[in-house]
Amino acid sequence: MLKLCWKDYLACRWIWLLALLIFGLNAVTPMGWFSLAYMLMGAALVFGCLLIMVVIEDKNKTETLYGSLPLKRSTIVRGKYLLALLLTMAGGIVVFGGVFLISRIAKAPQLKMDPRLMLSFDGAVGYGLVVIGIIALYLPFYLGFGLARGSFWFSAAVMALSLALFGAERFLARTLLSRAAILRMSVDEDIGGAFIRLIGSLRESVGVPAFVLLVALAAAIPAGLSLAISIRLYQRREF
Amino acid sequence: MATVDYALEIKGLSKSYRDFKLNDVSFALPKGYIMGLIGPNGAGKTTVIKLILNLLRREGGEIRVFGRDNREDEVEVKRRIGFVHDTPFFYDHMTCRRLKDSVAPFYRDWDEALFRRLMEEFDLPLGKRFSRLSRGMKMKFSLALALSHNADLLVLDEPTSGLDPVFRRELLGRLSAFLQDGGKSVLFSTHITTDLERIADFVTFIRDGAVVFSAAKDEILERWAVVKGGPELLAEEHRGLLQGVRKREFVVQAVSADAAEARRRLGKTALIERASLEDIMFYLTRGNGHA
Repeated sequence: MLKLCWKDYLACRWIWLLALLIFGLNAVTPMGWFSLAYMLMGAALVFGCLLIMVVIEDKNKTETLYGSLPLKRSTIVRGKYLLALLLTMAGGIVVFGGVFLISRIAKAPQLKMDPRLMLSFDGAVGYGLVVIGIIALYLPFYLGFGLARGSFWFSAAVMALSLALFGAERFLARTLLSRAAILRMSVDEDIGGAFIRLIGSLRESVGVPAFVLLVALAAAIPAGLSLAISIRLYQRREF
Repeated sequence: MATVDYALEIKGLSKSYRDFKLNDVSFALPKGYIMGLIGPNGAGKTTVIKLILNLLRREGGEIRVFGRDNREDEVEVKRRIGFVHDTPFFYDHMTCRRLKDSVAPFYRDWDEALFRRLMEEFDLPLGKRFSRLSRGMKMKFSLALALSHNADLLVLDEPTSGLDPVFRRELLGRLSAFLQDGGKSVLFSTHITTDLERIADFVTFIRDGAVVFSAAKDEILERWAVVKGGPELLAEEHRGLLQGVRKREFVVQAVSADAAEARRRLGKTALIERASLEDIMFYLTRGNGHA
């Protein structure tokens, strides 16, 4: 599987570098100095790098080439997930390194938009869950239906999921959790910070061991399910 | 029952699309020989090759490479196959060196020295971007990769199409050299039948997704004949003897799969000539069926 990651690295490394530069430019602008921006930028960086790989692969139709090599289809799919994991880890280093540098450079960031919230276990969990969630949702669509159709259905799924989450949030806000911080925010507040604080309150309420277990399950279940669906769909693909 | 004497055995292969059907395709390539897979464009040659490489899902039938099922033993089977697709699918922006670096690790028998020797023989610069190579150079590069991992079976899909005669001869020479290393075999799909007349030992002709014939080339060339004569060739008694009939005002042309019988029955009234593979393919594709 590492061989598959290696060939993707060889194919994409210069464009990934360009994506990193764009991320860096965004990261140093004061507009981006709040947690949500970093979290989203981090997710966008990782997802963007994955998309770069996918677009290059689709443009050159290299799935036919690598499908002809002595590899099982399931290995090819696992290779993509391993690459996504490595990109998530590399993206994490870039994002948290960026936040660390900015927090040193910035003199007095607004309290509500303090990106230093990211530099914590809760911040890392938030970043990881967001990135894993997006990738776990995208890869089955891409591997099952190809770039064009896969991206269309992924976008449709994201919209449907967003509407469902919005509906659930409105329902909860009106009924059970009307005082929860995340549900009472206005646009000038740092939603990312609130998300991280929410993760922090969950950790405090259930205790660290149970929290770690919950986080592991929250990452492993969608990722595992996504991998299983991707393998099944990719076996049916024809090149 | 599969035997190890065959490099490739295909039995009852089928695959359907909305507008095309590969129907009950069967043929076998003995070890140590070259088989030409011929047929007009859209006949199903590429589909067969993609099914061998498991790039398409077969709906029925069996494909065995050196006695192993191409799906159950996919990795081992593909390790023994060197392939060249009709369109080379590589990352355009990468150099030949980097492309090789991305493919070589997947083969445990990769022979770097052989690869470099082939690149030199083919006049291919390692540092040149793939997008800047001509079609001929791209094909040569694909062939260099296919030959550099000690494959036992080469599967080539239209490798000479669109190439100049110099490179075509060079390629054919390279394939003959490949066969000299005993036990190697080649499946070579093409619609340029003259290439096959030079090197093929066996020929399989596919038309409209079905095998018309699959036999030794010499046997085919001996057995088939072009028959040219007057409208009397259209007589009911010749039905079954003539195929791919083409009628012009006073001339009827066709091929016969039984040259000896055609000579015996029509030798006095019609001109009977030796048929080339191209003749056979032409008449069977463009003609109007039986007399």
